[in-house]
Amino acid sequence: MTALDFKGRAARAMHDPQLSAALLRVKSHFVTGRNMAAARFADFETLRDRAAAIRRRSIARMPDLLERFEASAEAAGAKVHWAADAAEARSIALGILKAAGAKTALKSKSMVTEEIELNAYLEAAGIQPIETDLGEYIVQLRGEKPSHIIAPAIHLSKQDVADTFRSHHTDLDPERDLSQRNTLVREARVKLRAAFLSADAGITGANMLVAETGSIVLVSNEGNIDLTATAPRLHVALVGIEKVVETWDEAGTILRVLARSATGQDMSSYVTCLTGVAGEGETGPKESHIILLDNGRSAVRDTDRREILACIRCGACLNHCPVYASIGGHAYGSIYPGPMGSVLSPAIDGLKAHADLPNASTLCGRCEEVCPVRIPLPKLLRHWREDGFARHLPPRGERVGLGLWSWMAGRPLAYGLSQRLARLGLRTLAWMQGGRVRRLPVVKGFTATRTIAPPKGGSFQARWKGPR
Amino acid sequence: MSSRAAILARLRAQASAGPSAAAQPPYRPTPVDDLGARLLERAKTVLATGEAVASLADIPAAVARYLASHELAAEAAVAADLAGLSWAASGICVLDAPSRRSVPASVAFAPAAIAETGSLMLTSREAPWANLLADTHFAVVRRGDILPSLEEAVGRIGGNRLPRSLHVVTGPSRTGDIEQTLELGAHGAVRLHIFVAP
Amino acid sequence: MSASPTAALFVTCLVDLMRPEVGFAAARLIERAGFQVVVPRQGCCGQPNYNAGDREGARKLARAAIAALEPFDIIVVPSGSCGGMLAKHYPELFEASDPWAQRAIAVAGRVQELTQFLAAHPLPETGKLPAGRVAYHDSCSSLREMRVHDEPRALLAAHTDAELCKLREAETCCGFGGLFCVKYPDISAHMARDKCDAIVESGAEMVVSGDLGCLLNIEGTLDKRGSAIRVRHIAEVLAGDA
Ligand code: SF4
Repeated sequence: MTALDFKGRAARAMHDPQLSAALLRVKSHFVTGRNMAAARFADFETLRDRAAAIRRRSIARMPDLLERFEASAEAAGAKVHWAADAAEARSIALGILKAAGAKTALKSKSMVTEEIELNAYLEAAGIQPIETDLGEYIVQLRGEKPSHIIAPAIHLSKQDVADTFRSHHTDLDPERDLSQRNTLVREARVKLRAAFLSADAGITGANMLVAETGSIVLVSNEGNIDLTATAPRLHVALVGIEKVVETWDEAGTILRVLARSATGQDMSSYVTCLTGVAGEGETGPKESHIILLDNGRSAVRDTDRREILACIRCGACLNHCPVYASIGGHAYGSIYPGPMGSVLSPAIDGLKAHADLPNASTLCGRCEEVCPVRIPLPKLLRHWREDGFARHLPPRGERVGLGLWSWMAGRPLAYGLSQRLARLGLRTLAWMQGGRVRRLPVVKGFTATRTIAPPKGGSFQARWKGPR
Repeated sequence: MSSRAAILARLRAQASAGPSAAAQPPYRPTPVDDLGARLLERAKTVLATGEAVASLADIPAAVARYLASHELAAEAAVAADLAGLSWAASGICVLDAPSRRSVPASVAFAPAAIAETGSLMLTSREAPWANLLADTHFAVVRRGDILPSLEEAVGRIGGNRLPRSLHVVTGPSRTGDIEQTLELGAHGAVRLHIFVAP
Repeated sequence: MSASPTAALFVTCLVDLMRPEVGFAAARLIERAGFQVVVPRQGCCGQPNYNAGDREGARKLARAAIAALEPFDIIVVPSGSCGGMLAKHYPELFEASDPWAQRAIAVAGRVQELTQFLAAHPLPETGKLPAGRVAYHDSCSSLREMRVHDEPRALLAAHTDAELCKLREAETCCGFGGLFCVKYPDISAHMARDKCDAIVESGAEMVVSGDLGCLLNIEGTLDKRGSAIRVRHIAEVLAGDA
């Protein structure tokens, strides 16, 4: 089977009734939750303004903050590594795990480890990664990828999860009742508890790096991150270089907008702050590594799309996006879907790999309206389109058409003539097709699900005779 | 050139990365008179429960009442600094402290709490297992350890050196990963009960 | 010559081509609001090129539009989308050093979406026009670029007997998106289907909006389904042409 392109994946997704049902839940749960949480907070808009300024300030001061973070983290006993790309990050991570003799590694949900495809790499090297976030665990058992940045298994039903557990947890009674959600959650809890207490290493991402203390901050609702980063003897964090902020005061403001925008909570159930290594009498690993990943981030900082680096991965732009709601996460063909993914993915993998993503949007602006750090996503998508246009990526027909239009539509004679021809064409088609246009040539897609009433009479400007 | 040097050099060469936005004033919640009441009120909104107790001595009986009302066994792991309370008199069987071991219930001090969000702050100094490895977590917090905000709690606990881990726990562990429907007790405590003690 | 003030009407190329009657309705409304209407020679505002990443092409069209519109103090546009292009995107279209940048900013500041204009310059009282059960569709650019929300509703309440139906997901895009609907017809159709489902559920007899793009999308989709729901531009409704 050849891989489908974006349009093919989107079409398949839109014909999947179960996915449609799941995507309806995104709208009803996440969208309502976010709006209620924003309304409960006295002045959420001001908080967003501050969060937006904090993230922009951090991006502007990135090199200084990263160096400060490194110095503070190392003073607290962690080791900081720098990786230019995915391959370097993977090999640093593997080197650390091998040196420590790790055979199993717990993982908490981390988009960066998905981005660098760490799991497959570790498995090939004989190290078993165990995803501990329930959604990621389910997706890992199924050999799939997450379909949402904060809700990886959103595309699956309870029945899918039950079937997955039945086929993988083969040591349990095959006849057991798995019809209830809480039974499924319990079963995963028991399975993973054993792993928590025996694994050699824990691998996490990070939501923020706090430069002043060299701390990393993570959020979860399950508590799996706390166990992943605390129970094993070795901890490795993989973090994008853009995640740095300077102070705890800044981190606090970001946490307040993050939970509200992501799940509609005032605060995530678990906020985990890790600084250095465990000292005398403390619980936790004596060895801790932080791998700072670039992978296209520093390059995008030098373009008019740099504001995407302010993203705090709350997922609100996905939840409010009508295109995401139609096609789901997998159709994007990128680990980061939705509006933020359509801006970030081309920065990571190159525009050619994701040429459709910046274009597959109506630029309706709902993402920007809810983004807690006020990233102008439609504008950034448009900048990618400009980049693509300059590199002749759109099909020839589109480029020629646009060129013709910009030449013609500013010249009264040519414009008037084009209007006359178009009207004639539409009326002729309508006459042939029973009063309305039912099949347009060339742009057939438009009339696949629509008809067009042909224009009556001459154009407005041809008929306008001045004020009566 | 190392990746570190290359990344930093590239970032530094980018004069276009824009002027730095002004530093933002820290956010602080509106002050409240009774931080303990605020903590409990906020904790309830995230499906935790809690009560104020007149003295630590009241806790064993309260734990016994809670376990009985939830039809749970009258047993709990009790942290060393609370072991001196009269547990046996309240019919509670004291289990070993949950060091890397799952237990049905645990009772332990939380070194700090956050009124704004109804959160507890646990740290690696006391071991966070009381929450992470117990089904039911009874957290005891002294009034003087309740801070208005997360930032102030980090400041209080950190002093001049932060513990290796801080765990800010807001309500019982939960997940919405199956059909977007809330289920409690994914990995951490399934039930969380807070005692505000003098 | 009358002493009444003048307003320029930028009809938009879509109205010019597809629904001239919307342009005439808008012109009558502006006149009734006490203004003399001038229609400067015009083509396209450049939005299709702009949104396709063809900034140079968009600038070409923008220069023509700016030259045509800059003599006027008030520029009325019966479209949130083209209005948004003129008012919000023109100021960002040219490099700051380009002399056109200042001219673009000057024009942008005088642009008003039709219902904004009518809210600021009330129409004389007439009887209530019949409208029936109406679902109002906010176009994304009206709502988020021009910040229009209450104006069309207030106008409908003042001048018609419209009974507004609650539209589920009223703030969700209908899927038109200019070139989007020809480049990604399947996704566009899916979004249009959701929008039309919501319209049908609302029990409306007529869908009204301020943007012709949305209206052609919605009308075409409803017609294909055999729905009898009428689809009208707000200008037509207020001018009594609906
Ligand atoms: S772009 Fe904004 S809304 Fe989207 S995930 Fe990032 S922070 Fe959230």
